[in-house]
Amino acid sequence: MKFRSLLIIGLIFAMAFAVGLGAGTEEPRRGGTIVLMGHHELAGLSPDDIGPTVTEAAIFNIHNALIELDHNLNFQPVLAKSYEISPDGLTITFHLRRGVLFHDGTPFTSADVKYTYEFYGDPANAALIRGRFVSVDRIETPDDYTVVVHLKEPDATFLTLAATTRIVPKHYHMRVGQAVYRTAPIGTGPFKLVEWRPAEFTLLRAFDDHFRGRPHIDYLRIDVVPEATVRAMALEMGMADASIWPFLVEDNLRFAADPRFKTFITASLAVNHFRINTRLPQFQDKRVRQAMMYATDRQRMIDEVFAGAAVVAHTNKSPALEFWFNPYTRRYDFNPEKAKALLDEAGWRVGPDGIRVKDRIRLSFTLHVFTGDVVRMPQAELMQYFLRAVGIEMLITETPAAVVTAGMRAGTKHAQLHNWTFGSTEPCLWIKLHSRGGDNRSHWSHPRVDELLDMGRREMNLEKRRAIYWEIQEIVAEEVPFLFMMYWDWFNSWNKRVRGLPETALSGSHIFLYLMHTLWIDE
Amino acid sequence: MLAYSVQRLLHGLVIILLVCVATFMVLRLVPACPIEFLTGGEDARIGREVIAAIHARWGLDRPWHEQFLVWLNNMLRGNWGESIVRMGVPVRHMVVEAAQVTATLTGISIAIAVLIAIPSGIIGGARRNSFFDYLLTFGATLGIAIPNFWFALMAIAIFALTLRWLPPFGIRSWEGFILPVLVLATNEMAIFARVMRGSILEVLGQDYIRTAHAKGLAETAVVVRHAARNALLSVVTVIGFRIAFILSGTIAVEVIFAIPGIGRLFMDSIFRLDYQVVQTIVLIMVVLVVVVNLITDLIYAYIDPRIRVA
Repeated sequence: MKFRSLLIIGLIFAMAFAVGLGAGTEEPRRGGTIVLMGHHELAGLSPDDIGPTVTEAAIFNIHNALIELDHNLNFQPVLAKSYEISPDGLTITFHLRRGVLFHDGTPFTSADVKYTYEFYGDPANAALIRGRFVSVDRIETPDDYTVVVHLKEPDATFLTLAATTRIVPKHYHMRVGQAVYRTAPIGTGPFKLVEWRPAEFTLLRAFDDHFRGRPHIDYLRIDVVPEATVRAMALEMGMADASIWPFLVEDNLRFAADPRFKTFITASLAVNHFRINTRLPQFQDKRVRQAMMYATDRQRMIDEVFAGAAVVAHTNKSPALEFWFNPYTRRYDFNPEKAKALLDEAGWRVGPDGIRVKDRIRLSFTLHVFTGDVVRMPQAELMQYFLRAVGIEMLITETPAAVVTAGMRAGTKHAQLHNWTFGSTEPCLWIKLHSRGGDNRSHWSHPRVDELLDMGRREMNLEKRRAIYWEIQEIVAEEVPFLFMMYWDWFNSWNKRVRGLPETALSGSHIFLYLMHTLWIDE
Repeated sequence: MLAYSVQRLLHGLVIILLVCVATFMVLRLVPACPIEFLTGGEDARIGREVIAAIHARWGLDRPWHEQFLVWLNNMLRGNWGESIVRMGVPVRHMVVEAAQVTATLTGISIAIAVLIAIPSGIIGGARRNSFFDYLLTFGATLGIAIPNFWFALMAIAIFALTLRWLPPFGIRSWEGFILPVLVLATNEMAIFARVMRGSILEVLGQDYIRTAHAKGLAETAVVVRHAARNALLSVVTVIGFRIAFILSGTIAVEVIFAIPGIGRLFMDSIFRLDYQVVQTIVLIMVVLVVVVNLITDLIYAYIDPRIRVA
């Protein structure tokens, strides 16, 4: 009997050894520095310093949240082992992971979670992320590893927004205050802060006692390099391993084709679209809006204006959001004949100047492009050509961004062209599509969508919640409250000396935010 | 002389106040607000009351003339205020830190430019129409004509990317200073050399130079001891102005070489409407220009009594 168990143990060892040999080159190596480049200064390092991904790259590697988004945009429990929601949706109970230490050696407990949520949710502190906690009634900590959140009303965004807020240590944050904390944070994350120069670089060092194990690399440095061309040259030279913010399109495509680099090409979450005021007499009939979709050769637009680096949009949700994206909605393949037929059917007849007319109103409108927007101006010009071909006149004018936003919200402007999220990893788009939403620039009112949006906020069950947002996408695709064009490709190229990168990712940005402690350097 | 000085000083103070009011108003006339930039990613749940609380925190809910008086009062007491974008970091700290970087960079650049440009300008002027003079004129024209940002990118492409001699950005080591100094110094050098050459040519035509020659002094002694000394005055004036207008040259260089100097801080702050920082930097620049002007005026008045009277 004894001999047999010894034999088994021996066999296990031999197998492990063989596996080790087989995977020889893929054994993580310890040491070295990974250098990332950002385009933008890191204004502060607390959970309240929401900003571009480059700032998050530092904050998220220093801190952890109860729930975090991985590189495939799935929610992963990190500081929480698990959570459960009461049937009435009013109580969320988080069970915390044990044995987690902050960088100063203090254990992480439920008191830190309660403190973080209460501090940033307190109106007196005027935090930027305060909106995440507005539905919280009170927070209880029955023991060190349990947090019970009581909500005033069911709020599905609590899990996607509030629970992804990074946790600060109560004993330290309370002592030094938010102003100091932003410059000298202490978290549970895989890296701790060594030196921070907002406009120059941020240097982090591996935290030996990180609960998921010490990172393989010793240092992680984020250099701030505003100029895209200089970032590209630095990556080319091997002075940096990756750029958090992409380069110019030509450089992006060049690195993607270069075998010395591994490039993640992922769809952006913000839809490139023409926002139209659906209250205008020209746009009130949905057949006109559908006709504009059929009239547009979006693939040609992508190929000619954006060098092919984008994917056609079918709804308001990016296909990168695999969980929320509804692939079964109505499609609008390029078909100018169908567009003309729809316009005829809607009573818009071609006038003497080639522009359609109905009830003495010409099918004409003015599009506002942001002043100096050289990227989207050619797109607007191509659209003008597509629409003209079916008898719709689109005039183009350049207007400052803030003026466009104000005018669209007030309903005094006809249309604008930009990229904006209609629900990202948090799918709620209440303020943009609800008839009472503060940013409903389409001035669109659809009773069923209003009802669904209200339900979506309250629905705590993920599967049921998905069904709600799938139905909204079906309605959006059918009704066309705005002309959805494409999702731009997002490029992240890595020097291949960095190992341990995933084969694929649905969000290249989240590799910087979620996976840095699993990477290593192969010299 | 005293009355003249007081008059110039008062004149300067009025200009400073006018520029402050104008900057303050222009920033507030932009139909946007720094809070919009700060809360950009959070619109899913952010409500009006949250925005209002943030406005109140920064005093942005008060009428603009009240905001201006508070700001002016604080500035006079030496309190430069807090950055909105960096949420509470003292502006003084940010500006002083960035100014040190820019001062080092431009200090070295101007010193090198002076060391090379002045002797070259003297030689070019003294040996008019020589090969060296043509070379100098050509080089100086090129140096003024080439845009900073293009030269900077080319310098990185050649010395960093192709030759691998120098880092493409950053000033963590002394090597990092070489390319930005090269770009900045080239521009300054071109300006100084042209002024020096022109000035020498002018001086060499004066009577006292002929006298010096007549005394039997060697050519070198005439040019260096008599001509160059007098010609230097105009170059010193130009150098003073270049220092006062330092921002115009350094913004592009600091952005391209990722140097955390005052030019980049100024640009970033304008884009994100960080009111306090923009106002402070503008104020410092205006004071600098006014002071340089004042000193120049006073020196001229001291040298030439006719200016004082008129």
